[in-house]
Amino acid sequence: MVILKTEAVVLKAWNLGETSRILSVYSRDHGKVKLVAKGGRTLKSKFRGCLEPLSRITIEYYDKRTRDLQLLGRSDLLDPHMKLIGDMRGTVLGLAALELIYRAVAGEERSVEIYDLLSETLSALNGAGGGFAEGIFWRFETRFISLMGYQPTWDNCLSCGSSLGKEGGFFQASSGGLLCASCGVSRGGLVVAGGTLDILYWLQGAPVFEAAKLEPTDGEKAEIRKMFDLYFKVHIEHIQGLESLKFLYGMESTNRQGIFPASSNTEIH
Amino acid sequence: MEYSSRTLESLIEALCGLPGIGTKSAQRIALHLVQGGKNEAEHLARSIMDLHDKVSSCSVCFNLTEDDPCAICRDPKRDESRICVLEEPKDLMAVERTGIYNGKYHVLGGVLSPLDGVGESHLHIQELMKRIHPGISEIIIATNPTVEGELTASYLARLLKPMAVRVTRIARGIPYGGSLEFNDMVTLSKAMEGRLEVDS
Repeated sequence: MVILKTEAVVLKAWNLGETSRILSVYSRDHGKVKLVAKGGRTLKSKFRGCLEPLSRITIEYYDKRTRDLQLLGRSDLLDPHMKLIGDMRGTVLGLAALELIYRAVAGEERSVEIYDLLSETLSALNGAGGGFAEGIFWRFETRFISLMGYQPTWDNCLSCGSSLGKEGGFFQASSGGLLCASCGVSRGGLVVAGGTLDILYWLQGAPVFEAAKLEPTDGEKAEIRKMFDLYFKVHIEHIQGLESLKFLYGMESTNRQGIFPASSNTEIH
Repeated sequence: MEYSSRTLESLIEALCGLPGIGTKSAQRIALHLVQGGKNEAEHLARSIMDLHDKVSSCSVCFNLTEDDPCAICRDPKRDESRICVLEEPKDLMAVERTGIYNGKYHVLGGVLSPLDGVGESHLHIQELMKRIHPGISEIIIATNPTVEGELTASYLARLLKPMAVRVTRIARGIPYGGSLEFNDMVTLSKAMEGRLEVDS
């Protein structure tokens, strides 16, 4: 048994018994780790404040290779992403990023790039204010796909190699890219407008805070959501749509009494 | 077989399924019941059976009750203009123990949880909306201060805002008997934000 110390983001948390809590975290140095915080829910717990999803924390745990659940010894809160409290859209998009990593990353595969991407995404969502927070999440999805080794080709036709221009193309999730208008007519796929491709292409190199400045049309928004959904279903096992996104889209479609406006900081007296 | 009696073994297994009871505790309880009087075992068995026959959810506030509506909903002395919204009946019991709140309650039956696919339709949110009328002056949201509890609070606040009712959230702060240096930054920040005037 060794004592390991690293930084991590809490992906998911469950209650265990009367007072303890189980955490699934994505750590900077050891990938996805499952930890038990004994007595973590009591008022006097030394872990208090560190056991909530979205929090960036330091962890010190006793690692024993023969067990799946490691014992958390110490934890400190680095960033709770406090501005997300009361921001429904930001919170749900942050949870969707956590859910994607929780479901797509199988074991303790270390990836500092994924950790840094998650960390900067949560910080950006926390600071997005009234911006287009979903742009930050799309940027996260684009880069996460790439880091997982499933980078699609956004800019050239998979069949003839011609550059995809303003006329858009046909997205084929199983082939990992797009077909131009002439190749796609016979082979089919999800019809995608040129503006949508411009956004996806731009997101690959965009700084994280710039992504919140996007102003997509409703059509572009719908196409990008559909493309990512299809892509994850085809390429990453176990992902049949993210629950967090279903929640977000459900809120939007209901859209009663303006519950879910673009900027959703809620004031409670 | 670890135990000399199948009945004893079956009881220990059943007790082990209860929250907070491990094998050793289950064994201790089972042996206590065997060695104790028959009356005690019968009383316990009858009480457990009565739970399902008599206890159900109040159709108004969704607290656990034997009579519908529950005693709190029927009580004319309680302030009908205030409703405190909670996650579970155990939270209601905790607030009632304080003896400081004299309004009515509404138990949601959980919290919104995007990660687990728990949405509005899984909770008693629509029933809460139906309880809002011009006589209601304040809705106190007392969900737990967790990510999901805060999300639920924001969601409810947005739903209630157009109904011209005052929506408040329970305060977050330093626990009594605690010390500042050992508090996490969220608690401390919220405690600073929610500071109150000191009466002289």
